[in-house]
Amino acid sequence: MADNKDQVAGSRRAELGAGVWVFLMLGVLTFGEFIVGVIAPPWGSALLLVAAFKALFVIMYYMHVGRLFTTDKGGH
Amino acid sequence: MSTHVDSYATKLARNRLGLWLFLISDSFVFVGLFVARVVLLGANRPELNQVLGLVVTVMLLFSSFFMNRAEVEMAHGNRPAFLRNTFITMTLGVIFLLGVVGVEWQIAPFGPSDGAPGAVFYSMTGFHAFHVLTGVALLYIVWNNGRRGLYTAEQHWGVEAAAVYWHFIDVVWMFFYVGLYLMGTPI
Repeated sequence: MADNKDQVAGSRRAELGAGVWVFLMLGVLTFGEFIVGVIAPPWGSALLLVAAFKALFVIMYYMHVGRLFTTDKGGH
Repeated sequence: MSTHVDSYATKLARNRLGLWLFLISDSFVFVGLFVARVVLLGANRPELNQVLGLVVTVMLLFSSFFMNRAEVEMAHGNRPAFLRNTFITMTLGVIFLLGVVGVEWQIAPFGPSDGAPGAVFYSMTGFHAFHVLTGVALLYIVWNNGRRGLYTAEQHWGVEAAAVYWHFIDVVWMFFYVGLYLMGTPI
């Protein structure tokens, strides 16, 4: 019973931790985009690749696209 | 009992598929707007306040972070944390709207009918802002349902759907931010 409780708490911590890492990565990339956009506008088009990379992370880790292909019974 | 759980799982799978199909169809409009921006402005961009663009983008990024936390907390049955994080997400969404519609629209050196930059900027931000507005409304409904105790750790499709929709809005803005504020030289 206690083990199960620990497992649930551990899973919650892991999920929240993953959210923090994704957020930090998105923040760094967004700031990097801003710097490049301000000092080197001709490179702006390349920033679309960075945006696509950021989008991929959000789709995978925040939108959980993988759930479409699982039989997850809970609402999460 | 087993039948009930199975039917919920089946319904959930169908709901997820339906939501993603809706988002894919919705994204075609956003792609169309972005293509219009590329065709009409090419290597130029509307003359906008880049710092304000960064600030509203960071607001949306933070909102996605808190929405993710809200969903995780609900999935673990922590209702107070879910309510708190959803409320923060809504607030950040409103701040984003105020930044774009309340400030950027007012200080932009062109109007909606002032040629290509105006048409591109107001149609892209307007259509996106409408989605943010509906997202905030959806979050309010979910927050209110959560307050009334309608979600559990096992069954909270409403929360998941609102979260996925909210993150979709963030994903769209990631491209619009680059297209409007960073790509090309200002005209």
